Amino acid sequence: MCKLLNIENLTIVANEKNRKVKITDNVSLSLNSGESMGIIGESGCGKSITALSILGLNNPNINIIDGNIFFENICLNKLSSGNLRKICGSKIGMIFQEPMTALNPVFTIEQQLSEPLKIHLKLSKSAIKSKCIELLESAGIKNASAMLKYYPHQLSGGMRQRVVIAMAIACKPKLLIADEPTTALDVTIQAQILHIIKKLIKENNMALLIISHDIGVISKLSQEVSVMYSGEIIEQDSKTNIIENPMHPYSEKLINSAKELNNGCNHLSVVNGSVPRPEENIMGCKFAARCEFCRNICKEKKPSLIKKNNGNGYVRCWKYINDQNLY
Amino acid sequence: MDENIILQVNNLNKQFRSGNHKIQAINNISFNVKKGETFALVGESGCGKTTTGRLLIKLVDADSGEIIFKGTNISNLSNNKFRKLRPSIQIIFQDPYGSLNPRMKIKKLLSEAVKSNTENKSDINDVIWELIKSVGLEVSDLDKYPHEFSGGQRQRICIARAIATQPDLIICDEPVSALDLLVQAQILNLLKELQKKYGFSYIFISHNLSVVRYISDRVAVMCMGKIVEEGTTEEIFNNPSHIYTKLLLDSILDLTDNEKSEDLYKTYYDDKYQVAIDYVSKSSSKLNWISPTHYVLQDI
Repeated sequence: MCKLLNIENLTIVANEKNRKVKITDNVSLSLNSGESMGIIGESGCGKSITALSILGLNNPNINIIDGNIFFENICLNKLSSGNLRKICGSKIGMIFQEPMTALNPVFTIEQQLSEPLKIHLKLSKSAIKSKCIELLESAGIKNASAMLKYYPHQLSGGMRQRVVIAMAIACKPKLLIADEPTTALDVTIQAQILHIIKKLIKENNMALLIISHDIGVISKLSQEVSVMYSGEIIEQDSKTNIIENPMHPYSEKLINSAKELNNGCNHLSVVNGSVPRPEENIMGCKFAARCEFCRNICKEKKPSLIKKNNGNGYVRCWKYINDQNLY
Repeated sequence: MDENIILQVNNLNKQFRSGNHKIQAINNISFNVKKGETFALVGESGCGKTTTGRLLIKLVDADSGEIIFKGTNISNLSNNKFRKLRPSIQIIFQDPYGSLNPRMKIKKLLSEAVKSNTENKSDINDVIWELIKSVGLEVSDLDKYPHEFSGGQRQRICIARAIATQPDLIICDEPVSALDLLVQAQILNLLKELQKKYGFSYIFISHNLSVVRYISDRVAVMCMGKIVEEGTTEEIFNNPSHIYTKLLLDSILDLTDNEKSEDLYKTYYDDKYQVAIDYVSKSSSKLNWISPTHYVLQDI
């Protein structure tokens, strides 16, 4: 069966004045239709860049130097921008982090929401209006027909995010990408928005790629989880395995920190140090300097992403590579 | 008055106006902060928690009400007189990128704060060295500019600046919400350690209930400018009694995936949120005391 989305060995660099900085290194992901995958990591780990590069939305000085992105067997990163635009919006929908900036302030909600319907679905004028109302209602907006005349600044953050969601699903895409969809919202609104996204992907059988720094959000929406650290995927497994039995020392710290906060304990365990800067040239494992299990090999040679002994997951850590010759 | 209480706020009000539109940002709130404790203000954006913090250090002037800090009513103090008190109340802002002057080296940033409080100008360097080490940075970092630091390190610098004047009260306005989870843990632990060492009180303003539960001794839940429930952290988290507090606690995302929470999602939020908001807007200003330390706002 062909995969809906297949990212193979994606390596992205940013061209700065006189040097190149690697932002992601050999990132591979795949997603079948109807499945959901979450990418979790701290800011600067390359998770958003990976998502944006699917749609070709990256800044011009950020280039893919290696690897391919296949969507239904079409290589997206080699398409002309005109052909890419036919797929973006109709087959791939995107929900952005900032509902304040994702909407154009000088157009009404109706004008913005009808654009994808006009361009991709070529609906008639009257059909567009009823479709707009239907979309807004499915995104949980009650007085949808009145809402059409509003401008973005007249809506609250939660309402704007609902409009952004309605736009993303307007053409019933096969893949929905959500980049930190609730980070800018309050907790009670976050709960509502997550519920709406969950309902919509189920009803329309969409695949979901969700990016977040919050394991709580990821655990509500996705079946599979990839953990990213400093531009690399360091662990990939089902949600249950990642949450209950994280294997990479970094994932373990990240999950435990979230668990400790949620359960109200008295002392948080701390990882000292900070994420390496992208321009630092690290030979070995990127987490080695902060890792309590660090050995000589960890600093000298980069571990590869290996299959876990139990189950289908992958982990990138020397702890699990049983090669006696190395020590 | 109880000697342990360093800050007492009585019936504070603040209204903002824009044209004919009036918003009651702070609606008759009262609370006190004891020496050495962490008092948290929790609520969603727009509930007035940040405005409260700003009123306390007179960045905004209150319409009515009293703010009594260590026995002095500061709400009607002139700016000049308040400046003398100001070293004992410090604030740490949410955005560590916006709150440090980009053109000042760290040494200058800190020495400004230290100079405002000490008479003896000769040992300023020693004080600064002590400060920078106590927040987990190196002495060599003093000669750097703010842009050379990460978000977590900048927040450490802001903390160093806040404790430089040996304050009695530090207002922490969402100090960790711009930070990643692991960095957040570092900063929260640092705040706790420093409190143990120097004994200051914190007013901790946050929308993140998990963080509040970890750091605070007492919690006040705010909604639409009112404190709807106040109690010790245990009382609020184990026995939430106001409908709005219950809603907030329910929206913490847990990592376990059980059926019950699924059902909750389906029916709960859309309707309950509106109900809770209506409930708060109609409630009177009478307090219902559940225990000597725990009250909720009574409905009409």
